[in-house]
Amino acid sequence: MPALVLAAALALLVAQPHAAVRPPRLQYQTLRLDNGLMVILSEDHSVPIVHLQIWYHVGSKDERRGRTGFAHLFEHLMFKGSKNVLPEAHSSYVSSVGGLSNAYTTEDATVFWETVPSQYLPLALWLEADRMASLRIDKDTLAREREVVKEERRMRVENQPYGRLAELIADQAFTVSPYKHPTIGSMADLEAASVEDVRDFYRTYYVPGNATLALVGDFDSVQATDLVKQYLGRVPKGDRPIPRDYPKEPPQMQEKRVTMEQPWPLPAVVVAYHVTFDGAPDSYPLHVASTLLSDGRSSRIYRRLVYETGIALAAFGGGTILEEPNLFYAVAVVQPGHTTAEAEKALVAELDRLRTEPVSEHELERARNQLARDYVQGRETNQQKATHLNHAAVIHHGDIGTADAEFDILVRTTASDVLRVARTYFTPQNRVVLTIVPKGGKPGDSSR
Amino acid sequence: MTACRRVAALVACAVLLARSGSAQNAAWPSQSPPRPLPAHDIKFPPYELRTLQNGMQVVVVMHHEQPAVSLRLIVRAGSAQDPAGKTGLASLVASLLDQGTATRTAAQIADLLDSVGGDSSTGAGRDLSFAHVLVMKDSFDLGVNLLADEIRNPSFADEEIERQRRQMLSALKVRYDDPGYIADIVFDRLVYGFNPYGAPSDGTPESLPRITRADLQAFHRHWYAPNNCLLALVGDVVAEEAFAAATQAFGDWPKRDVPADTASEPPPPGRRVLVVDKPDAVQTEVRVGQLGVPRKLIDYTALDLAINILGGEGANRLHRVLRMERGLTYGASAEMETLKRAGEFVAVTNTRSEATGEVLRLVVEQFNRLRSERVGEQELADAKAYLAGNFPLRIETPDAIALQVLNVLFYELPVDELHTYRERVNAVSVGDIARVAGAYLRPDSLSVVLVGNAKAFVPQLKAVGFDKYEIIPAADIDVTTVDLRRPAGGTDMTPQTGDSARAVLERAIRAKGGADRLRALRTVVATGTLTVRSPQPVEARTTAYIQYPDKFRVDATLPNGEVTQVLAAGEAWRKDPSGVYDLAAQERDALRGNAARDLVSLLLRAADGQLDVRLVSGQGEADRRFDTLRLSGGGLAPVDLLVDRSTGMIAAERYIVDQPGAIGKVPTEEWYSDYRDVDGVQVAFKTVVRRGEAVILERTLATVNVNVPLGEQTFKRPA
Repeated sequence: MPALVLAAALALLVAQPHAAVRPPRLQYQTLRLDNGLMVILSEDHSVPIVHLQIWYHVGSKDERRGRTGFAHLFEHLMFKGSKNVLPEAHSSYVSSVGGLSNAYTTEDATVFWETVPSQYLPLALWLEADRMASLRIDKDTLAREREVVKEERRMRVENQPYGRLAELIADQAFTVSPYKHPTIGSMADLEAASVEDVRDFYRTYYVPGNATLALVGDFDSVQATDLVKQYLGRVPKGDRPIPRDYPKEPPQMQEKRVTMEQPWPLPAVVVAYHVTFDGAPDSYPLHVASTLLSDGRSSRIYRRLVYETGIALAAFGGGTILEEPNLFYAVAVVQPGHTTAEAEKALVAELDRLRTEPVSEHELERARNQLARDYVQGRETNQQKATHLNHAAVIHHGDIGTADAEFDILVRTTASDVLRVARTYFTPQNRVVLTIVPKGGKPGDSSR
Repeated sequence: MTACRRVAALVACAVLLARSGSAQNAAWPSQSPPRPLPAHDIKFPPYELRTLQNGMQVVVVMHHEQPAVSLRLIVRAGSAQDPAGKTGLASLVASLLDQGTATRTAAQIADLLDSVGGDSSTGAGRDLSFAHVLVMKDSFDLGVNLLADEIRNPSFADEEIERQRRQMLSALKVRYDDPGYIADIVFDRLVYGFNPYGAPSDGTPESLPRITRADLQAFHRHWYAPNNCLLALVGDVVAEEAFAAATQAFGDWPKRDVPADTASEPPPPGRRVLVVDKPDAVQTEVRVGQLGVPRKLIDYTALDLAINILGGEGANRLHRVLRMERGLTYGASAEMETLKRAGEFVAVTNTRSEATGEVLRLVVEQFNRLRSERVGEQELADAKAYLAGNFPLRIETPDAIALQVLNVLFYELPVDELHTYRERVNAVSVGDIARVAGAYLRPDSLSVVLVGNAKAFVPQLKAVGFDKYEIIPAADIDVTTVDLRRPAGGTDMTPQTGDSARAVLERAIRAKGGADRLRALRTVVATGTLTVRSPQPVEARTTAYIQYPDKFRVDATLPNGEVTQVLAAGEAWRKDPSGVYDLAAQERDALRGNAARDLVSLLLRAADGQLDVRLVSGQGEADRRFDTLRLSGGGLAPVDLLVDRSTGMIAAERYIVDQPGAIGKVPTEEWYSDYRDVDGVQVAFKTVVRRGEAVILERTLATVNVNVPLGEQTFKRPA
């Protein structure tokens, strides 16, 4: 039994404070097909729709130097047609029955989904099976999609201000970690990619053994299981091992400080710390710390930086808790009339406070109630439920029970847990400070 | 069925192409898509609707899957109710609802709500404002009472006002950097003109600083009334308990009369191309469209489908042509926005600078096609399949269900529309599409906004049929001015001090007493003396009666008796010792001209955007002392107002009256002086009328009373 679930079970034996309201548990069953595909089924008959969501356990962190951007490129290529489906037809099939479909790429996974009126479940399964088994990959398609990705990159540079913030932070904070490079990859790497490289990527990662399917909605589990076996069960197994050795970021030995320019109207300050991975015992008090710092208008960072001092137009702090160790960071967008130095000082002060003072019981109870609300609000739709189930299955390596069990761990977090993680991670030598000033301006300066 | 035919066509092509697949794919079977399972019935979920005694409409949607309750209150007032010059008022009011009430400070509210894991948000759109509170089931009573407190008793504390104002101004700084945002607000201004729908609901850097606490309180007082609100309680509640809670929290809120809607109509569609220059842009944001229709329109569903065919899900012509066929853009779409009183159709896309001209041409071509050609049966079937099929996806969550009900209530649509949506969609024919496209689309009168590097694409515009366009640098954009440019020398955080037409107009209105006071004028009764200088000197005692907007009467005591002249709602007559007569056409026109030039009328019509307002440079030394505003349009022959540069008072009106027999057109000037305050409005007690060098008449007032009730008899023509 995974350590985490054991810990949760033990915790139940101890009388502990609890949130006012306990979110309902997710109801689901699981099975694994012969070809390795993991399937999660969760019935919900309230509306006659079904949501189908496949996670391929490959993201930007699986990309090696010189081959960045592949996972995201695949997100595009998967819509370019397969043996029985014309290019772009996937989306047309779905919208022609009134459904919605889309996909996204993260550092850890590539996700494809459809929501359709429930009678079209077979169609959605057939579409996913076809592209998992027989994706059309040729030189012309590759060349065209490369151009589209370049266009997308251009748009993102022009895009809404602060859109690239997370990317910039990752680039500055990491040296060796595969989280350093952005999901969209480098243009040079994509230019250099050959059709064989791309086919290689497909054969390695786009196989049933590397995929998890969550079906949530209006279906009968017995019938759905048959349909899943019928369409996805035929997809051949992968024939090669999936590399899972990720370069480890060495511990940071001293504070890193960087100042840069971006074409943004107001300056921004980021204070970041290297932290642990999703599912590690320390990750839970870090979630609680995020809530304390920025959930709601009485939260610490909002109260201090936005409301009381007016230093920031917007400010928040939270953990980017991913499959491999990533960052916890606080950001402030600086108001005119205030300086980045002020903002940095105020952010660091809040993070330092967590190291020196135990959190009050009042704040912990607030955090518990807010987390309960997050669970309730965050599991309303079929899509949300599917995402949580898939996340637990993929990122917690099969420990699907954590989708619910984590709640109990979170609400049992104590003041000393928060103190402990703050002292472990929010130290000066573990800190990266990024100051971003408007192009041509000085910190605290803003035109217009 | 058409869906099957389409699928078959796709499959046939796919089989042909399959030969180009790899060896691996050869093992994967060729196959057509599977048939659907039997469809499940879709019914609109249950809800209950009641109206409280004070007129508040209350909707309850029960849903017990999650132990949470969502409370949403909608006020039937938004930025469309922002007074001219105070754009952003509705938004600022909304932002302050949860920032302090009569009994709780902002910090207390935040603590209270956060500590129970609640969530809240407030805001304003164009037709409505809203406050939303989410609580867990066990805090239901707290949630309802807090929401009621926020809506009924906001305190508008000075320091909270300043905080929110600063937040809104800073947020605007960020948004103005987004070319998409600029494109949207400029487009709205073009399409809606000075109708309040054309002003950005977030306000502008110029308007936000002008909003006062009194403005906020007035807006709240005028519009936040129970009979002007809708409340939805959604989630883990039982109907009786929900209605009881609503009654307890809102039942004793007194009903109040709500002001009538006096906004002017938006201008009819007119072709206009505006280029907003951002020299460092590599992409151009493109908006093409026109004035549309209000929500409550019988042709709504057919139009919705038509616009869907143009650029929506399921059958998106723009996307197909621009992205798939030509690779010119990452995405293109068309939308129909329908508000309470008006709406718009807009095509939205962006593209590389070099492709701008071609994209514009193609978009306009698609508008033309939609109007001039019947749509294909398949295309319509696809669009219908999407809209009808998508329906269950739009009622997945209890909040989504409530929003559907609120939507129907808000726009005063028949409630059973909720249950007949798919039938209505499926009933639309190709003929219907042709009819509505013909009735409502005006491809020759499209508004176009292009935000990007002007140098890179302006040369292309002529080649694609657009030889008239305006270019404004992005940094100079000001959607509140007549010409969309910021006044020279103005800075964003300070009130208008520049000399743009709009600024001068506003200064004149302020100097005269302010728009509110002027709008509050219903009647004026003024006594005085009129001295006619030429052709013969005559002096008369006069009493003038005005009932705005369209009733004017003058009684004059002349040597040969009493004379009365009346212009009232289209009639023009005179009464003198010899009887009652219709005025001759020429006299009637002269009287109408006078009435149209009533200063208060002129100023308010100009403020409401019904008149064109320009700054003109005059001749002569008057120029140094006055700004000259020329008002025209809306059936008015041009009138110049000379506004004193130092005081903002209107020193004179200048206009041309057609004089039979006159050689050339000599302007008539009325010069005002001896301004005195009458109930907050500045009234000139002395007027001198000149034509050229000659003084024609003088009027001196003795008494002026405003808002005296005038009976029907005052303007009624005697038998």
